[in-house]
Formats: sequence, structure tokens, C-alpha cells
Amino acid sequence: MTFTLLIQSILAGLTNGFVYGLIGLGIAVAFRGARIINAMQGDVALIGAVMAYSASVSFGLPMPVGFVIGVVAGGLTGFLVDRLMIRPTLKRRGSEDSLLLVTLGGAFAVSAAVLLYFGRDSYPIPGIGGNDIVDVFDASMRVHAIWLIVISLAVVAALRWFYAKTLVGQALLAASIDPEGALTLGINVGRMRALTFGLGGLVGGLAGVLVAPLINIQYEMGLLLTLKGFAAAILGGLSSPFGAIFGGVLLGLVESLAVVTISSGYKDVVSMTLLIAIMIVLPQGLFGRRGRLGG
Amino acid sequence: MSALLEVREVSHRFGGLHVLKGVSFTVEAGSVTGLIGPNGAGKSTLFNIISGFLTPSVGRIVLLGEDATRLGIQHRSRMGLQRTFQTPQVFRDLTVRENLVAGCHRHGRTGVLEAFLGLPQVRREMRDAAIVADAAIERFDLGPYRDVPAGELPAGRQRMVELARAVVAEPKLLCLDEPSSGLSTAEVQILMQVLRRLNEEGMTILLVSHDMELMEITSKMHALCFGEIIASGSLDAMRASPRVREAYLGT
Repeated sequence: MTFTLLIQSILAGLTNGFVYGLIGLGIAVAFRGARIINAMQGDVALIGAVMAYSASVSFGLPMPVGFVIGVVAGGLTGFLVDRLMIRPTLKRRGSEDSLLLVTLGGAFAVSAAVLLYFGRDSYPIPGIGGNDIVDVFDASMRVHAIWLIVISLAVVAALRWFYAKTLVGQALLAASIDPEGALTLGINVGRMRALTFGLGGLVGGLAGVLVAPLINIQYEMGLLLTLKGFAAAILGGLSSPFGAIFGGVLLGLVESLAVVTISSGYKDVVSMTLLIAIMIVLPQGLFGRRGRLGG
Repeated sequence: MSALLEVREVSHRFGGLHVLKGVSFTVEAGSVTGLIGPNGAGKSTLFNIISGFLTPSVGRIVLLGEDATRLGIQHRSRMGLQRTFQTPQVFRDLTVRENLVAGCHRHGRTGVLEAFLGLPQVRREMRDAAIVADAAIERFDLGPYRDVPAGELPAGRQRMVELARAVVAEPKLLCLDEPSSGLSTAEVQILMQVLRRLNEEGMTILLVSHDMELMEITSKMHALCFGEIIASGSLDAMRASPRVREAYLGT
């Protein structure tokens, strides 16, 4: 393996890792604020990407406008998931399993809808900085990928600030830990859950528009993204924004190093083996209790 | 209107079991009112009806002159009612300080949008909440546990955290469910001091317990037995009442 190949695989791993991390971030947000695993997170990203594509490519709006539309569409989707799926399920005293199944069903529905309206083709979206490339030690990286990394880190920082430094953020955490206790303090638990899903949706929409230029939009991408994002979030302890990104990057790097050292066919085998190993050895994720809490 | 809370002819049934049978009493503003009764008397049911966890089969709950019978838990909390639980319910994964900050939620005025825009009032509000939380940590002697997850504290300390969290919400009526259970004798003494001081500062307290010793701080008591109030009066009157003695001691 040449040095350049090593650098190239690390760069590819970093990029993929932040993609997984961004999806995982949305899953972590939903789990942190509502103790619910949202299996639709990848499909929320798909919706964001499709809306950004429609706005900018089909309707000819400027790219940044399409970008914003995609993110907002994600947030709206998250909000509707809570209103139309989570809330009615909770009202009927649905268990954690039924919530997971409901969101899984939603994921298939979104995927089928995209298949119906967009077909099987994959659609490219121009990235930030077009297709420009920067050289790193003879290896290359898309300018867009650098933006993806920078924006991801900014979102993590903003989320950490929100949870730790605002009354609403603290109320949201309180409501997720003990809904009854939160009610007695006058916290509107239902609104906190809606906020959580709206927030997760925004992050999902953002992930969609940032990821689309790198992997092309395709109706099946949602579930695959959810799976990798879930793995990233689990590695990070399932409720930590920082952990999800860290887990995503770790996963991405392990995958891409597996590609160059073993074979590209074993990419998913290696990453899923890592996931299983972590779940057995460190069920609380890499950061333990405090990580689960999301510090 | 000097009655902060009026319980009017409240009856409650679980299936065919009549747990409460026409219970009426009031909690006057500025008082420490006690509600005693042996196990199974219906204290917890009554307490849950007062705090909004249960809706009574019959009867009304009037809070601050407003009919609150059908109002939810959150609504009553916003009106100024705070309760604690028989088994302390703290936010286990949050630190003691974070628990108390969450307790200040009732006074928060900024919403989600402001929070995301990072407006100065959001920061100010958080700073104010932190000041209130730190003062409560001092007052309830929780200094050494400030940054420890509340779920890791011993039971007695968790009770203090829960009480402090209710107090920072600045309730008009503080309802305590068996606050001395699981506390050592020394801790009960401290609890009584704290409650006395809160009352002196003007807080109205409703104390539900079977612990007679704790009732020394009350100004008026009601004894509940098999779903009915069998006696009302001062602690001494209660001790002298044959019906109360019978219910308590079986003599």
C-alpha cells in the first residue's frame, strides 16, 4: 500500500464517517429527547435531499435556496412524524418496540413514495464549491466534503450549547428522563417531544442535502443510511451528539481501511462486526454513562 | 379567599373499591396542614387527586379559587402547585445543579426559537436560573453533590434534591408525600427545620404522612381513615382523640 493510497483511504473514510455521523446525530437527538429510536432518520435525509433537488434542479431555484428548503423539509417531516405517528402510538400505550416498528414502516413508505415519483434513477446534486477538489499529499478531497465536516462540527457544537446552556434544553433532557417529574415542574412534555423530533428532522434534512452531492439521491438510500447512522450513534452511546459524530468517523475510517487492506467486498462485514463487538463489550457506547447522557 | 386549596366532597373508586368517601378539607394560605392516616387510608389517592395525577369519581378540587378538578398536572404546576413523591423522583442522569435548573422552568419566558437564535435573554435566563440553583444548593446543604448525577445520591439526599427542586419553582402550595420515609432521625430533624423556615417565609405546605413526629410542625391536621376524615384539629387534639388512637394503635 502506497502512502498516497493510505491518505486517500483516510480521506474517504473521514468523509463517509461524517455522513454516518450526521445521520447518527439525528438518531441521537431523537433518542436523547424522547428515548425513541427513529428508524426513519435516513429517510428524513432522503426527503431533504429530494426536496433540495426538486427546488434547485427541477424548479431552477438557486442552490442555497434549495439547500434551505431541503433542511426545512426535514424539520417539517420530523415534526409530522411525531404528530402523525409517535403521538397516536403513545396515546394507545404503544411499547418501545411498536414505536420502532411504526418508524420502520414510515421509512418504507417514504422509500416507496420516492420510487413512485422519482423512479429508480439516481440523481446528482451539485455540491458546495461544485466539483472542486483540493490536494492533500497527492490524494484528493472534494471541497464539498470539507464543508460537510465543518458544518457537522458546527451543528454538534450548537446542539451541545442548546442542551447545556438553555432552560429549554435542560427541560427537554428532564422530560426525557422522567416525564412525570417534568410535568410536575410545569414542563410541557408533549411539546418537548415535538421539539425533539423537529430538531432531529432538521438535522436529518441537513444530512440529506450535505450527503446527496457525494452519493447521489436514490430511493433506497434511506434505510442504508439509517443502518450506518444507527451504528454510529450506538458507538457514541446513542444519545450524545458528539459521540454520534465520533462513532461515525470511527466507522468510516475502519471501513475504508478495510477496503484497502482486505477487500471492498468486506467493507460492511468489518463495520458491522465492529458494531457487534462494541455492543457486547461496551453496551453504553465508547463514552460510558456520561456519554449516554451526552455530556 | 384565604383557602389556597379546597377539597370538596371528593370520592374515588377503583373498580368496586371505595378508596375515598366524601372527603372535604381546606388548606389555608400560610399554614402547614397535615394529613395523617394509617396505610391504606387513601392518603396517596387523595394526594394524586390534588396534584392532578388522578381525576376523582365525584367531587371537586379548588386551587386558588379556581376549579382545578379536570386540569392536568402541568397546568396545576404552572398555577403554583408543586408536589414531591413518596419515592423521591429526581432526574437521575442530570446533576444536582441541572435538576434545580430544570426546576426553574416555570419561570422561563423564552421559547425554542429564541434559544436557537442564541438571544441575550436566553443567556440571561440561564444565568438567573443558575444563581437560583446555586442558592438552593447552599440552603439545602447539597454543596458536595453539586455536579454529581442525582441518581447516584443516597435516598435521603435525593429527597432533599427533590424538595429543593420543588422550592426553586417558587410554589404557592407545596405538597409533600411522606417526606420523612427513608430518612434517618437526624435527617428528619433537618427536614423539619427546613420546612419550618420555608413556612416562616410564607410558603403554604400540605404534609401527607403517617409519621406523627413530623406533624409537630403543622398548624392544623386532618386524620384520614378508610377513606373518611375522622378527626381534625391540632396535633395535641389528635393525640387525645380516641378515634385517632383507635385507628393508629388499634386500642
